[in-house]
Amino acid sequence: MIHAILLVLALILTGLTPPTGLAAGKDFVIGMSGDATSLNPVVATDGQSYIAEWPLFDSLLELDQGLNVRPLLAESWEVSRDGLTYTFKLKRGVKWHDGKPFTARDVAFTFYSVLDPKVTTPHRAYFDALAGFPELTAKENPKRPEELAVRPVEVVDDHTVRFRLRYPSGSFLAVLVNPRAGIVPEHLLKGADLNTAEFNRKPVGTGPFKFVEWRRGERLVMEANDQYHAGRPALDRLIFRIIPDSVVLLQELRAGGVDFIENPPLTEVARLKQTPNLKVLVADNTSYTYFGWRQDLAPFTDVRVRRALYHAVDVPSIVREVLQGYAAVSTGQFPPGSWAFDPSVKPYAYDPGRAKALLAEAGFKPGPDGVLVKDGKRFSFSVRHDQANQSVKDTAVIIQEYLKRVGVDVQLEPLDWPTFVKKLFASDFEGIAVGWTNHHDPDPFAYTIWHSSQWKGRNFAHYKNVRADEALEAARRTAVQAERKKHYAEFSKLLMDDAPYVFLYFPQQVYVTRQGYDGFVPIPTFAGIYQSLKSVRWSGK
Amino acid sequence: MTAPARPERPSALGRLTRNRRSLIGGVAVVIMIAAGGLAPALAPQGYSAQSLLHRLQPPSAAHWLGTDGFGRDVLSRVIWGSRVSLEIGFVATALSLVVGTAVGSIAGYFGGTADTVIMRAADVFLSIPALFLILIVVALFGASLANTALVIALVTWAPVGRVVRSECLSLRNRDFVHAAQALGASHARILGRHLLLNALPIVIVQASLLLGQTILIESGLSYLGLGARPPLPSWGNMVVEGRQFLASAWWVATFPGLAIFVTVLGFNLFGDGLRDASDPTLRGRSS
Repeated sequence: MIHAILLVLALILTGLTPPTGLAAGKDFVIGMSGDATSLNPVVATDGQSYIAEWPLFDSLLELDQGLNVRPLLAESWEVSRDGLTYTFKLKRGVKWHDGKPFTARDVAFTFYSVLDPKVTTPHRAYFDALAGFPELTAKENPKRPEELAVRPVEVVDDHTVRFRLRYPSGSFLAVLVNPRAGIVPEHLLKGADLNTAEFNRKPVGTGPFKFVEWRRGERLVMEANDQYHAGRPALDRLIFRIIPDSVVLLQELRAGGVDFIENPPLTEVARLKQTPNLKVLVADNTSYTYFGWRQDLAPFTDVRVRRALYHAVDVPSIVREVLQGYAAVSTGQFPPGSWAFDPSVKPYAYDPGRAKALLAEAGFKPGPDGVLVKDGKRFSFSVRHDQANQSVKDTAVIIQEYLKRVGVDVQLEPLDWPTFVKKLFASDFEGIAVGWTNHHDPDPFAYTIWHSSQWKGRNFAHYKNVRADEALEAARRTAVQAERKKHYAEFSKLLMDDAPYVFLYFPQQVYVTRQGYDGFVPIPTFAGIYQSLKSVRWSGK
Repeated sequence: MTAPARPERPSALGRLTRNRRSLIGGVAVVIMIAAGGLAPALAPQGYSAQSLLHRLQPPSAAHWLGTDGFGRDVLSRVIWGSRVSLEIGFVATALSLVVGTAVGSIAGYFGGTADTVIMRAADVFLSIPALFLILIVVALFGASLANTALVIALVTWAPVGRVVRSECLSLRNRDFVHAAQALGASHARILGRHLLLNALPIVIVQASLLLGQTILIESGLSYLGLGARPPLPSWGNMVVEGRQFLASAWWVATFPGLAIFVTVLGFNLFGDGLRDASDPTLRGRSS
């Protein structure tokens, strides 16, 4: 009976949602597909939390539409000639939401918290370049900042803070931006356990909006910060409503229950564009989707097999038909909008004949049931994926069919996200289809995913190429962008040559809002558009 | 030679076919079973044959029920889906009937401690929300067709057990049972020959009602992503896949939904008719 009710309910909900209070123009209601887990930028790990933090916390720097950094809490900065010292002048007169002044001590507190091994944060690895990083973050007997000869963060005076690096790093400024480097207040968090602090549910920041209330799984409310250092935002209140189902979310938008949604069903976008009172915003993204496998398991150890799988999948058709063109075909780790992207790297063309030839060359022969066989073993493997991500799920089903056409049998194994991630990091899989976030700077992800020293971390697919390792290391240890670009181009060529994955696509971020709301800036990084909530205003109909 | 006397009352089969509702139900059920059985011959295309260039096409001469988000023929998938849905339905129902009947008849015939233990166990299973139990089992043992059938049997055996028990309770005090006992028949013989054979009509009615229920549960499970694995179609997972296109391509979710509706209704109507036909108090009446 329950099942019948569920089925009926889902069908009804999509058609009949009553309007729940029309937005008054100054209350801006954002439909979110999931709830945040923590509102503390030091410990938050997921996309929903990142979105909610953007209006609450400012970082030292922020990104512009070209992904260059510009001042936010920091007014200006100087880099020493050797590239090892960064001195930031902080903006004066900035106040926390509780009225206390913001100072350089808050900055030092924030970064020492990120480096503290007792604090559970995924962002620590991004600050690898800081002086004393290995000593401060050691698993056993980590040192305290006072015990170091060269301290990574130094408070020069109330409005000056100095960072010291252990090697010149081209990505250091790029990691000082939201959502992974929001500054938290020392006066409220000193001595507290950051993993569990009450602050994580009732945050106090320096951002354009102040926290009002958070009803878990239901809504998160913020109001304009009259004291905001860059001027009060135009909107009076931000209300994040949590509505997990994309079809229901869209219905709420049409009915007037929300003013802004992300990721509508792509088949609906063409119609939404023609709806008179709605407008569609599109932003490029650094996130990417790929189909991969364990590099150290036979038959994937054979490069001919890997290239054959690449030739077997028609990626441009998937992008055109399933993603309705709202994606870019991927040629590796870097998105087309990144300065590290090398347009001369081309993906393997869709060519099932070539795929079959390569597989035959690798020793596979057609078996009795149409599946290829080598040494008595059928070419059959499982592909694990997140069951909740619709585009990944659809992509997996399509890949299964493409591979079947060249005689490769794929068993799909949808898993819930926490289980899936656990299996990923334990390298417990044969094949995987994954949608993964990324960083706007090439280093943080490229290094941790592809360097052979990271087999126990993000390099769970166990890729290893000594020359790729060298390129990644060289790129990491210079601050000159032209040099870095050269090393990353080398790395991208090696990667495509090895065909460790079928790099699929970089999906774009699609948002729908009501006509009359202006001022959105679609910054091409994950959820970057939320940075511009402070400039959004209602211009009336 | 005399011609055999015309029966005064119509036979059970006659009563069944004379009942219009159960006839309709029976026809619906037969059509669905035939579709499942003959799927390879009936389906115009393979259930997994994709064509991204022809995705989300409305019903047409080439695709009678349109195509889904992968450009697969909806008609073919509904036909193949009946095979998956009915297969699970039959296996789960059979399991549930075997367990329910065995346990129920033992409880009803022997009574006493055996009855108490078995019926309290049944109460426990009835008191746990079915969906909750299913989610636990699937989380522990993974989702597969066999597990799905097993899980459905787990949550449906108890009501069958109850019905069979009450039937056996009333049968065991009948004269013919006492007579058999007096003649020295073994428990096994009395249970098998006298009780179960007489309880059979009730079991058959239960089976037909249960089939509809299990198909519904399987659809619910597939809807939640716990049933049949893609690309294998089951009506439940077809409805889920179609839901995201509900506003732009209604046919993707509607036709498998209709198939569930027709089949479940068919089994229920047929089951009701069976019960009426086998119920002596209703003999001779027509509806």
